[in-house]
Amino acid sequence: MSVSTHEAAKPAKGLRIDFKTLGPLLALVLLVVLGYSLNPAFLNEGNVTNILTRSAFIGIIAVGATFVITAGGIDLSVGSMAAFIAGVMIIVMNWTVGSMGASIWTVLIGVGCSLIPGVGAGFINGFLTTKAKIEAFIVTLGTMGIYRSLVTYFADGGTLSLASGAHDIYRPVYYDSFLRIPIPVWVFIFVAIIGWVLMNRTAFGRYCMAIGSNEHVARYSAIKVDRVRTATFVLQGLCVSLATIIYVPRSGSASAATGVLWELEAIAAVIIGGTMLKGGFGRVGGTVIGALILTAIGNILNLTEIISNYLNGAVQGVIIVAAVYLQRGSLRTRRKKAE
Amino acid sequence: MRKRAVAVMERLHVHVDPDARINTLSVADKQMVEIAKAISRDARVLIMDEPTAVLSVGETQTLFEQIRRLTARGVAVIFISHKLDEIMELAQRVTVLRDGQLIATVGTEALTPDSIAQMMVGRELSNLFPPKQEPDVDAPVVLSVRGLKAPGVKDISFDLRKGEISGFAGLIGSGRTAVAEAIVGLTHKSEGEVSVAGKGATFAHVGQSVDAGVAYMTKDRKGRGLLLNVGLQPNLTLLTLKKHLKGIFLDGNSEARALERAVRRFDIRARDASVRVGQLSGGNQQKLMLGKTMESEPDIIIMDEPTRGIDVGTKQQIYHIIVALAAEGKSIIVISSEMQEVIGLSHRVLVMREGRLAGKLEGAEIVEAEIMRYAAGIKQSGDDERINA
Repeated sequence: MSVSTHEAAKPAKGLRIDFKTLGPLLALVLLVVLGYSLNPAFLNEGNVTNILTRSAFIGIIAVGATFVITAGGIDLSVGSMAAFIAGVMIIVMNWTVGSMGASIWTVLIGVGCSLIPGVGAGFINGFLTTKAKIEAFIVTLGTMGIYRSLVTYFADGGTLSLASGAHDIYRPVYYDSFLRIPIPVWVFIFVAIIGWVLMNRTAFGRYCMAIGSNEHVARYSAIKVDRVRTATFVLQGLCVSLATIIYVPRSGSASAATGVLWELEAIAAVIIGGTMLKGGFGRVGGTVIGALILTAIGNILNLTEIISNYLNGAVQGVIIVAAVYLQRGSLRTRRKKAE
Repeated sequence: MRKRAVAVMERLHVHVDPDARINTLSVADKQMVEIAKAISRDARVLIMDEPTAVLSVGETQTLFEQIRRLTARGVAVIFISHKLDEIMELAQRVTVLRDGQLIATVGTEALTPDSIAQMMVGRELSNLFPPKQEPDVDAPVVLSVRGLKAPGVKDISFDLRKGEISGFAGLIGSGRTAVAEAIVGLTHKSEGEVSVAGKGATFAHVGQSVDAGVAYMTKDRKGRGLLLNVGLQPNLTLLTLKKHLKGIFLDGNSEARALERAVRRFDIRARDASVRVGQLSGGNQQKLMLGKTMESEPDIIIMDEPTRGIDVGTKQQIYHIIVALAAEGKSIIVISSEMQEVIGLSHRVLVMREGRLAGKLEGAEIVEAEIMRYAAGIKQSGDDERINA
């Protein structure tokens, strides 16, 4: 309470901000400098838009995952869910093409219908977690298998392809730009801003934080814990739908191989961004940076010869472990300062 | 290992199944196991931090016997406690710390509980409890409970009047907390009638009880009351976040003003608002939790162990706040295992035993021996004169 402790508190606080918000950003800047010094082509406009576009899928899903993880849950089913939604969307579009021909409407109907499986799958994950009281890890491990095998079943073990008429109309959603920024990046920006506002400026975000931090305290504080938890899974499902909507026009197909390991990349983006895996602390801005870092690593390995591109996963793995270690480290310094 | 465990627990007179899992034990039994664990290591110096905070009177005595046996064998014991009578009973020397500074180390024979309290607070502690106001027997009944049944609660009926402080006494595990949690809707399987201000009030959810003006302040401030890893502001407004919305967005300024008000009103001391609540002292945490509860502007406040594990200066502050709230016309239930607290605050004391109301005391009847008799089951109000206040 004395003056000296007051002053000693300041640097400790500054340190915390450094690690939590600037840490991931700093890592991204370092990565960009590294990429540019290894190959100046890294910062070509074409390459930058390429990185941004590719990070959009994982990034959008990861924004949803930030909420699930902040509220103390986890969703392993997002990759399979994306494949499942893509499958449903293509089936719906092909069916409407068959009955009313390819037009902007077939695409809109398909896109609209793709929101239903996303929200529905999210709700199922949330319902099983909260009402049936099964751990989120187990529930989503189960639904992960279910959604993926459903796609395989729909595609009869092969690939579902979008009717070419519809694909031609739909293609621009992935390949076109607005103000020189590709459409998927716009969607990513849009989702990130909404996510940030939701997390930091609404009661919902505060409730997610409270539940992830201590579920009992949340319940005693009149928070409808089950409802908020379920909402995070529904939000996650919605994000997966959005990601799939901009992903399908890229190849116009869906198969059992669609979205494989996306769940891990999304979780990795969230964790690299500074959100705590055990819940209670979420950073949407960090998640966006986390997604960019992951994509940038793959891109740099593609552009340079130093490390084989096949080691992409290994480098990403090292980055994830290092990110979590740094978070711990900052926690330890803070504790020391506090004492 | 099992044998050794049994032997140590025998020595402590702890009757716990050595194969039982810790999370199935009562809080008091957990504490005794913790103490047994410390003793089993044949320590030469034993530091006990608030070992009796959750123990009943009987268990405390068992612990004291054990401590005396240990000291007779040459073990040195540092006994950290807020309970001054325990310190007077047990210690040879007393060291008083305040705000991280050593105030004094004095032999017990030169001390009285009052003089220790004075050193702890740093000022004259004239009256721990403010003078009792005469209860208004004609005040309207604001909370009426009839035949309440819930897990741990068997058929409880009582009334609470406007401006009344009603104490709930009883041994640990007698169902006092269960009654409170059943009233505010934290327990789902409850039966019976509860009415607030004459209107039926069966709450399915805490939010409903808050809306109806009934607030419950938990005894478990670290596990149920506060988020330890965040700052003061989100904790203060968590229960009443809806009041700080501008459209659909949170109004940070409005939250900051609420914190400013609460800090002033409840004298919450933190070096700044961003300090994590887990780093505050127990007393400041308790005052913050009181502030959080009062943010909902309740008419009826159920306070569960409102001064557990906090220093005597803060205790006095909280007692004054409680009495002032009652004078303002708020109705308060104080659940407490500290006899002095129940006696010093309450207009009326309800004693619970094994999920039932064992007795009801008013005015001059409120004395420790009488409360103990009901709590221990030595005395009971007969079935024909049922407690129907």
